[in-house]
Amino acid sequence: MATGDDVSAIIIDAGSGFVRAGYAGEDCPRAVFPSAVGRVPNAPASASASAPTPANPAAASVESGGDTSAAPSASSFSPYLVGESRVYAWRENMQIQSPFSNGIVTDWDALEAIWEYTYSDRLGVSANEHPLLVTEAAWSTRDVREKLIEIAFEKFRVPAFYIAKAPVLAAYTAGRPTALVIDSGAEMTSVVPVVDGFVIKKAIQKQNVAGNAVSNFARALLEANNIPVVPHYMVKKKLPVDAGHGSNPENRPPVPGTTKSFHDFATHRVLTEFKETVCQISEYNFHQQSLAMKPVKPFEFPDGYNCSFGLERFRIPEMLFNPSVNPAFSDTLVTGLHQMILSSLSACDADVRANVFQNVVITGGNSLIPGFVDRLNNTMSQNVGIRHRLYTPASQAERKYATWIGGSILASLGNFHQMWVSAAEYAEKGVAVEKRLP
Amino acid sequence: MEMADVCGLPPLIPSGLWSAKSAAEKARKWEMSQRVRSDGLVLRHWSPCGSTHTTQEAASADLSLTYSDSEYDSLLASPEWSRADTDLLIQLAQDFNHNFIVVHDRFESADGTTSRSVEDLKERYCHIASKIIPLRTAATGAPFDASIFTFNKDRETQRKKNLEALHARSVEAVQEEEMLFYELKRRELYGADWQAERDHLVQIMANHELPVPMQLPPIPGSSSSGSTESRKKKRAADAASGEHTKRKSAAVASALESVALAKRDTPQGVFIRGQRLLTPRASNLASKFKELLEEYNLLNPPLLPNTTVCDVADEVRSNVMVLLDIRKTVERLEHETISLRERKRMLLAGEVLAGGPSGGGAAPARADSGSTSDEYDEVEARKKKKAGGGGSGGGGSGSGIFKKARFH
Repeated sequence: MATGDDVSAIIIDAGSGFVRAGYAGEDCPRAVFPSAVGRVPNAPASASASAPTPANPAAASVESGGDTSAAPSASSFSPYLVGESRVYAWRENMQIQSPFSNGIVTDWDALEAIWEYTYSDRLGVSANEHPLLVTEAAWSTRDVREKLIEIAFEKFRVPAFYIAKAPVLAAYTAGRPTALVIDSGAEMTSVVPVVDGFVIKKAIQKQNVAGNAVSNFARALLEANNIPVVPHYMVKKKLPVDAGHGSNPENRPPVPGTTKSFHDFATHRVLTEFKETVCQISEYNFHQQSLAMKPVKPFEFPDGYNCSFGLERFRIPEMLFNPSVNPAFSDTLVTGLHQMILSSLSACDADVRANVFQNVVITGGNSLIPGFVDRLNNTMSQNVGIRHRLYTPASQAERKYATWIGGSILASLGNFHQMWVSAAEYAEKGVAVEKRLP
Repeated sequence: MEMADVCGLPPLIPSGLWSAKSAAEKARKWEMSQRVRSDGLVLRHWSPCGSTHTTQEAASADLSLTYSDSEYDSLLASPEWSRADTDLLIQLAQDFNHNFIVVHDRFESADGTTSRSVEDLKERYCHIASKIIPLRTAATGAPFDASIFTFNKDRETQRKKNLEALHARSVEAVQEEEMLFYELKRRELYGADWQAERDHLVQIMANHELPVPMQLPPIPGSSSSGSTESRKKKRAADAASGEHTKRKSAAVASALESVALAKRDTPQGVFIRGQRLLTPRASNLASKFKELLEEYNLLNPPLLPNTTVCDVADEVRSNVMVLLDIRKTVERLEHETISLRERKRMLLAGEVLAGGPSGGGAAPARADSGSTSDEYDEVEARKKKKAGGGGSGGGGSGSGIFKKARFH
């Protein structure tokens, strides 16, 4: 650690959509990049010729120095490709995969690659000089935490390490030790009560209906209306066409050697843009007649096709509150967001319920859909007989990065230095030190 | 990527933080302090010069409960609690700083089937503490306050049940309760005023031999006007029993007190009788008073200001005052009626908008507000009837009063 530096811990908040990383004490993450990683199979013919070699020797070193489980995959696949410039670009046979499933890390090699990329490419620091604080989902398990500790100390040799629960950090950002944290991100929507800085595990409500599900529904609706969603990589050149007229099919020739996962990933990027431009949540319950009279919004797809959307733009995100609008959820146990809040509240102890409900913190990128907060507010006043107050930061950045900012606050607190798990502590107790982390 | 790119917005400096005063103050000196932990981890931190760091490590050590096997067997053994569960409880209580809500959340009984409530945990913990701590303190001679560790489980369970019931109320019930509460507040606040107003009206009417007013319904919840109410009731009862003369004299006496004109006291020495004519005391009525007198050409002092003429003129003037007073009251009541009707309409419309099929809960509240405005309708109607055959404007009603006054 350079003399004159503050604790300068590194905070990595890896969500299912994006990874946010930066230094403790700053108000904004330094690096934000997609958490999806790419892999290219090492086909003998095309490996050196057509596939561009990844400009990431650090990731390669992790791969080669990996444990035995990674060894066989290393022979058949190139190293993981991390970062927008690598995963957004088309490569022959590149597969895109997410290291997370239901908010929990499942692909550890991918996570290592993400950490390595963060240290070497984005922050440009050595892991062994800075304490590291990572976030995890509230429902993370002991195995996952132990594995995280092991990787941090064994592979990255961090001097000190800490795992914080994402909802707790979001509550810290709002300045509230007790709160009901509603986090709607890319993959998961969760409602988690936090009491005095501790997650109430038995009251956690979560379901994997969030940004990605909204995008999928948007895709289904668009395809049902014969509107093809053409991702950027397929478009030769954007040619202007009249509204509602299909673009020239010759303009989007099929690209051989594209994997389905890459195509889906690229399509989702277009859908995300579509969603952010067009979608809005009805302030009150979905009412077809009145919403049909609201102004329409135009959107132009990458291939030039453009159209205005009226009722659809309300129907798509409506599935968050009213899953029955989406036929895909007709026979599942998916419930509306307000139902999740009710269940979570009723699982809380009666003594803390009122206090928890007085501090409702909303975070996650999916909550930035216009109308989300108003609808939530109205639904809760209509359904719950306890007073509530929403905490919604005005700035989009604070809402999107609430978890990261909470980590930044926590790690820069003077009193927090007693909380770090140091390398010496790990050497003494091993992964059992997990018990010390709340 | 630049930070501004990431956020989408450049970071802003909060403008409220800077002031001339803070600029004039000398900045505190900060230093990079090094903190070495017991396990050798060194972290540097900016801190103000001279501040001492207190470690919080020792803070939670003072309430650690430990017991030996023999102590457990002799003092703490319980049919409901296994040793493993007890150990876990003590450990969790220490880990989570005796926050029993969190302890309850993390507590998982060893056999995996027994479910324990927060109260069960608290009771067990207090039981253990009350047994173990005296043993420890007896050795050192420190005093032990047993009341800290007495836990009334039944009361706590009942309290929590009540709280649950409170939380389980429907939104309609909560809204209705709130509405009733505000209505009560409103009545407490204005009840005395309303009562005074009614008394005043009753007096004015009684003074002019108008029909005896019906007994107004008492205002529920207006405890402040209890005495006036009972007096009024008595008066009404008197009237009903036919003690007409008594009522009349009493009413006239009180009406004289309340008449809105300046009282006359006999001036000392020589005076002009015209100066002693009644003039309105309330300045806001003076212009209307003048207008009305001009209309009947009565503004100038009588040509022959002897006692009889002046008395009649005074009588006329005092009646004009009463008329103005009544008109004003009628106007105000009309306004109030309109605003209350409007409120009623809004409430009904609001319920339709927000509630839909929520009729059951909201109905009493609606009936309540309705009765308030009904009450006002009644008062208003009665008032109109009395103010000289209705009609609150023009000379017709005025002349009616005059006629009556002359016969008086």
